[in-house]
Amino acid sequence: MHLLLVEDSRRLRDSITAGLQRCGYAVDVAADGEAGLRYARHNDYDVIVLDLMLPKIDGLTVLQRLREEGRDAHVLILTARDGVDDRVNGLRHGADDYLVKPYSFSELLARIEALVRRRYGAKNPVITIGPLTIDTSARTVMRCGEAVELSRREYALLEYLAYRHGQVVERREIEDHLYGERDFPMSNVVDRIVCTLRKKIEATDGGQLLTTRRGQGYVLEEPAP
Amino acid sequence: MNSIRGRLLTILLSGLALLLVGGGSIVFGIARAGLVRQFDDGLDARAHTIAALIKVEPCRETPDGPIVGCSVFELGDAPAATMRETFFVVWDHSGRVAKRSGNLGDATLPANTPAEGRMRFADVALPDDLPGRAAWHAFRPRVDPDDWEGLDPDLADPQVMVVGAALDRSAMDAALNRLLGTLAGAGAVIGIVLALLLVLGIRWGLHPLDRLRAQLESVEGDIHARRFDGGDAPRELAPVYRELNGMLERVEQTLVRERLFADAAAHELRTPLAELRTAAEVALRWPDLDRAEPALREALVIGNEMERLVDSLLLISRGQAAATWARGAAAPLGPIVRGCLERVDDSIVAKGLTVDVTLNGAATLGAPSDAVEIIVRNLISNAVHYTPARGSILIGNGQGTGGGAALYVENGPVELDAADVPRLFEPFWRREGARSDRRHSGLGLAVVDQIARAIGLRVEAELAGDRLRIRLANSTVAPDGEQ
Repeated sequence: MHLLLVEDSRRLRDSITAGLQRCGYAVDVAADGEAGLRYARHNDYDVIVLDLMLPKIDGLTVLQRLREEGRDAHVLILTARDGVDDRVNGLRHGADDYLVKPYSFSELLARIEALVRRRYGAKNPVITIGPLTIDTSARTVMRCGEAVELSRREYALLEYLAYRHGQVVERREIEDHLYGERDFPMSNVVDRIVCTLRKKIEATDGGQLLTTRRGQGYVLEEPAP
Repeated sequence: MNSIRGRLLTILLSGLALLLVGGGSIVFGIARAGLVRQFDDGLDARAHTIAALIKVEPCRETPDGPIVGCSVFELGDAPAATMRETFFVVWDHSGRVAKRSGNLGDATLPANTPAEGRMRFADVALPDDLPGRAAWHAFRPRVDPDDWEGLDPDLADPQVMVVGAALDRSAMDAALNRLLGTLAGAGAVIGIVLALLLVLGIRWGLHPLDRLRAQLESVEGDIHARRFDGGDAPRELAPVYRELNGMLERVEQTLVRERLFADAAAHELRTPLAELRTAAEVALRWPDLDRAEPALREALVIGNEMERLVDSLLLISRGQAAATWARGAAAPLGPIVRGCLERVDDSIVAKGLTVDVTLNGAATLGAPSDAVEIIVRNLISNAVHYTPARGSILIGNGQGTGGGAALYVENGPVELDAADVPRLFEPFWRREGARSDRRHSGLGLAVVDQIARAIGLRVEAELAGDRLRIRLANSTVAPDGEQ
């Protein structure tokens, strides 16, 4: 999943980015409202974590402009402003969630996960596709009751495809959601990850879960009986 | 007696009782005196009547003796009714009883000797234990010239006699007793009625106070948010309502100010706390990320920043009390400014700032040195921090009318609007809402303002184009005293 963190505190940016990346998220960071707005305009983020008191352009203005431009990325406001009026104002400007500093990182993570689920219309954090069970909260994958060991990239790809299971997902979309603005993946890196992932989640005797639609993309779906 | 109602009732009821008893006594006394005077007038008249009945006639003490005057009592001429009720005794000049009324029986009246022509009155006991009152009259019996026709009237030589006349005073005593009873009864009734009116009057009079008390007692929660309705309060209580509401208004303003300040202070601490917490959580949750050491290093830096913030808050809090600072000192501006500039010398060099100091050699400010040093340090530090690279700072002074100096610190270019200037001294105010740069907490000029007020200095900001000038002066120093 591709996130944008707009936060002027360098220390907070570094810590949150490290934690989120460790959880498999591709994270872009912006230190002021102007950069945040620019990133948000150029990328299709799953979630934008937005501070309010930002240099150059404040967070509420950034949010307002994004909504006016029709951008529907889910926005979580992360701010030191804790008044009811501030929360109401933030939510009424189009934010999807509001978290006050200081917060627990686990709570931030849980709220981001919830926003990601909401983005893909999923209520249950556990996604089941045929023999495959993906727990998006615990970040574990089971196949026929047995744990499947995946790297962070492999898990991120599987989670993204799982949220969009049954749909053809283009390689470009996968790149956008797996890599940050400053990552420059090799042209075949997605193919290689797909290949590795396929080996791990598909049994030799079972049907294909992850199929390649030549010229279109990839589909994760329950194998035909 | 701690209640107003109790005090008023005690004083007024005591006064009322005294008034009634005193008034009754006076009325009774006046009535009694009138009755007694009237009674005495009657006695006086009777005594004179009896005295008028005695005359000196010529007689001989022995058949061949010389003619002398003898007192003769002509009772037969006295009004019968008068004489029947009157007890009397007549004493001759030697004190011997010359005549007495038959109704005295064996009793007599006590002797008394008033001066001639004068009357004396006294209560006496009459036969049959009757209470009486007597009048004594000293007189000389009259000499009838007809009786002494052809005789030398000087031979009559009337001697002073005393007549004592008494009357039964039972009727007067009974009248006085009736009057006393009437007065006591009327006094009791009037007293009860007045006491009731007094109680009701006090209750009615104190009702506005009861209403105020009820309003105060009905307040639940934050009393400072309440205002009391004194619309129909009496004139005496109107100022109380006005002052009470004014006081609550001031309390509320203070609380709002304190709350905003506390909110702002809490707000300032939220981001560093979030930094500490997130860094620690991430480091603990994923030890393989090797973030423990950077987290600890950053914790030290954040700790220092929070310490500076707390120091500034304490400085504002303590600086507001004038007693914090030394008294009666004159702060030498030259050494203070030089010392403060040395502290920020690295920043001045790093930013390539031009600093121009034009201070009079012996310039002083009539204020405690320690406080002035903190003010100047904050002014210079603020100027250095907010002046962009290659900008300039001017520090100078002028002679004030009060004998002290006015110090100013000017820096530029600055990105400020005229509307920003009045807010410069607000705690935590920053032109940009962002708190990214925490080397300055936004309290520097608030510290300057609070301490300056506490030590009797005046601090003002002025924007001229893109340059900000902050002037510090004694309250009596004219701004145009600058050079």
